[in-house]
Amino acid sequence: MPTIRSNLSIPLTHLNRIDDVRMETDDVEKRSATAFRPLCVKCGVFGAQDGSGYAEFGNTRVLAQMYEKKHLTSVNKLYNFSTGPEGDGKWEEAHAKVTITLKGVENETKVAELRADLTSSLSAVIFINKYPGKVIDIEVTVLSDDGGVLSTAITAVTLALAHSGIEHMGLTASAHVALKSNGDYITDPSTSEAEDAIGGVTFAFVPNLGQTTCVNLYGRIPLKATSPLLEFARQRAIALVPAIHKAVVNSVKERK
Amino acid sequence: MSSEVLRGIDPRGYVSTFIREGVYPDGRGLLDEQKLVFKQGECGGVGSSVVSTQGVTVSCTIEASVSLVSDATLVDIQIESSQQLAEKDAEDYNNLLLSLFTNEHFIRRENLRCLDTSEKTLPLEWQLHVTLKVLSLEGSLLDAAVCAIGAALADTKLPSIALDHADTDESAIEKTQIQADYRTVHKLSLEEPLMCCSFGIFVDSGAKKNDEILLLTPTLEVIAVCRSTCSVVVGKNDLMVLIRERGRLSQFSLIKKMCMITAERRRKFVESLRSVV
Repeated sequence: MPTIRSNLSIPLTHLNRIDDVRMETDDVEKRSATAFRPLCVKCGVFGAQDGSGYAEFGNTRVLAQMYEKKHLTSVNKLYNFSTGPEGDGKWEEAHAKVTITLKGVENETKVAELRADLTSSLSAVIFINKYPGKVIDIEVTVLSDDGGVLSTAITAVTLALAHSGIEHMGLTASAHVALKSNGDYITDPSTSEAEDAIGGVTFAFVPNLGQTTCVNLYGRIPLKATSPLLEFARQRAIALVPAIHKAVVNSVKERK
Repeated sequence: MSSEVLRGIDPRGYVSTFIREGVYPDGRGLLDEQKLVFKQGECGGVGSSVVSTQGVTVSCTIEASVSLVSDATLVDIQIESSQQLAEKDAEDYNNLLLSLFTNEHFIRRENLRCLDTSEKTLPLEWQLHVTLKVLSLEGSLLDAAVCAIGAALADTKLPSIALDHADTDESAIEKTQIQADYRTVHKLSLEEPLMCCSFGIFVDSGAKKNDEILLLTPTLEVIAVCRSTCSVVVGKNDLMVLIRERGRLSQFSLIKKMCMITAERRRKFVESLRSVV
């Protein structure tokens, strides 16, 4: 029987849109410059498994998990990390290796950038010298992306690290702030809110050490505006610390 | 500490100790249902869901494309690679889930035609790209995957299509002639929701009678010591849609019991889905 084939296949996102007027957000009440989007953070998402964290800022949702790497020969269930890529148990290096697997991001360039920032931020806080020859695997799944995914991912990874029991220097607080052309700041902007921004920064630091672990500047930010922007982002990140602490404390209570 | 040692050196003996008492190691009854939690519309796309049951959490995202009416398959499924799921198992589950679509157990092909604002069918079809992400895997993936796909399809909303191409015009339809009109949004006309339950068949070699004991949604630890595993998918009117059996099963009465349990669980799931919609 003859079959009909067609090469035309257009993704819905590539079609021209006729939007519902009611969906326009011009008359929607704007957030204040210091307010985050509605957020939800959870430490220990999967009861039976150690080392998971979930962070949600508006419609940006990221899940981070640390889990054992299954090898052909055996599974090390006592710790949340494997004994090396080949699983041969040899202490090849004097410190642990941190690897991040990123899922849910389509753009290859963005995957590489996110992975580099996350690996750098995480490696800075883990006592990698205490785990020689080990590989710490973290799987970061972006469930949905509506702006600020790096900041959300750092928060999720921080919570997963706190839940895993791996020794580290402290919790990392992170915030994404955009700068508009009139000099106004937008804290934790969504993709649509950041459309008219000239640039922004994702700022992550460890509050109890007062040390920065990630500064990701993008766009065209005037030199004079950089310092105030970083300081504003730092203040916004500090505002998240109580929420992260509460999530960690709640996970401890749940374990008991 | 001694129970942990037994668990490591003789997992079968450890598990059988509990099963003889009629419970799993975590205290759950052998045929007790696990809580199923689902949430719709959280993962982007035109429809999405996150389903969590028995230590397995799966997210399902559906993206849509527009294509001309043809004989090509309209649904493709991809289970994203994960270190928790072997590639061979992922491919096996992929084929199983795709067969459910091919046999129109989720949605009929004619219900994937594009509609205009007055609900008239157009010479265009929706292609659905279903992506499953395994977020945690402590049991059988199929149970959560089938529910996740059903919930995501129920959540799917597609815009009307405005087609600037006359019916009598025999030239090819161009991309510029197609617009997505979000002022009118349609939900998919779906078949009755499916339910999948996975079972394990355990034989206690230490007992006097080597009866086959039916276990509902066993964990990975228990599955490893089961003689066989069986996943049953039940659809409309409690009809069996699919049975996937691995291992050796001698009592056909167990299959009947599995189908009854799955049908009962399906009824509860359908009621919950309708109350959300």
